Amino acid sequence: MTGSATYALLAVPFLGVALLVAVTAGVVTARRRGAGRRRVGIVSAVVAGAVLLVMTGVFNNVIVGLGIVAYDPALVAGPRIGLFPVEDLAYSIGAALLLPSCWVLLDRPRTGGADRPVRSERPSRPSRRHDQPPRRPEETP
Amino acid sequence: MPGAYLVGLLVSIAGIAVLDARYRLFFWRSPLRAAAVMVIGLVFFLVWDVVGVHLGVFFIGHNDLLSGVLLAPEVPLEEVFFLVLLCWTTMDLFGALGPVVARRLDRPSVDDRVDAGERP
Repeated sequence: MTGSATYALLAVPFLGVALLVAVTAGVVTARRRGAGRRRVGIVSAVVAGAVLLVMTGVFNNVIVGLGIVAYDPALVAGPRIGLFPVEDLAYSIGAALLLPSCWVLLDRPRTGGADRPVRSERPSRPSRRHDQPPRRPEETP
Repeated sequence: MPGAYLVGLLVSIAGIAVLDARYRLFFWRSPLRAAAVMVIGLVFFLVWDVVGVHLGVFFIGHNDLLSGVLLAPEVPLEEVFFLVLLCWTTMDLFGALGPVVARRLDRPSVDDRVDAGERP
């Protein structure tokens, strides 16, 4: 029952694509909103990824323990986190890389045409945004 | 009990949907953009799953918790809901962390004081 790198190698192209999208999102965000905003996005995605890894650690142990999913021991490298192969964590890493990047890339760009107001859910003055409380007043009864 | 896993996933998805609605994190912040991100995520991870199944890396184990509906060989209906949960949780986290991280990086000294007063 010798392990192999099949499952690990499977993750390579997917994480490669996700990383490429993340780098693109970083470049685009820095150009649109400045390096500060890019830093906020990167830190947010990294912390989200860390939380996701912890949640995955719990969730995957449950579904492997219940027999919902099983693995061919000959195709995984061997190291397990509790019950599941360590390669499973690649899904969480891929999600943290790809999804926030797509989210910021699909944001409406605030490009040159300054005379035409761009409809956005965000206020036009980013420096004031952080002063607002997280809840809008009209939400509270 | 057949379907128990699906019920568990739906309850979990309901939880993150409530958080999304309450704090306007993802679908409640920009529905079309969220839908596009969700579709990209589902396609990305389903392709990953199908290739993994094709290689024989993972498959359905021995249990009586699945509904029995298969979307493809060794890809149960529940996998789509699992991926919805994964993607939505990721984006709820990202949406919630953005303003917090922005405050901390912008004005750490003022932020500590404000946080101490505002956080429950």
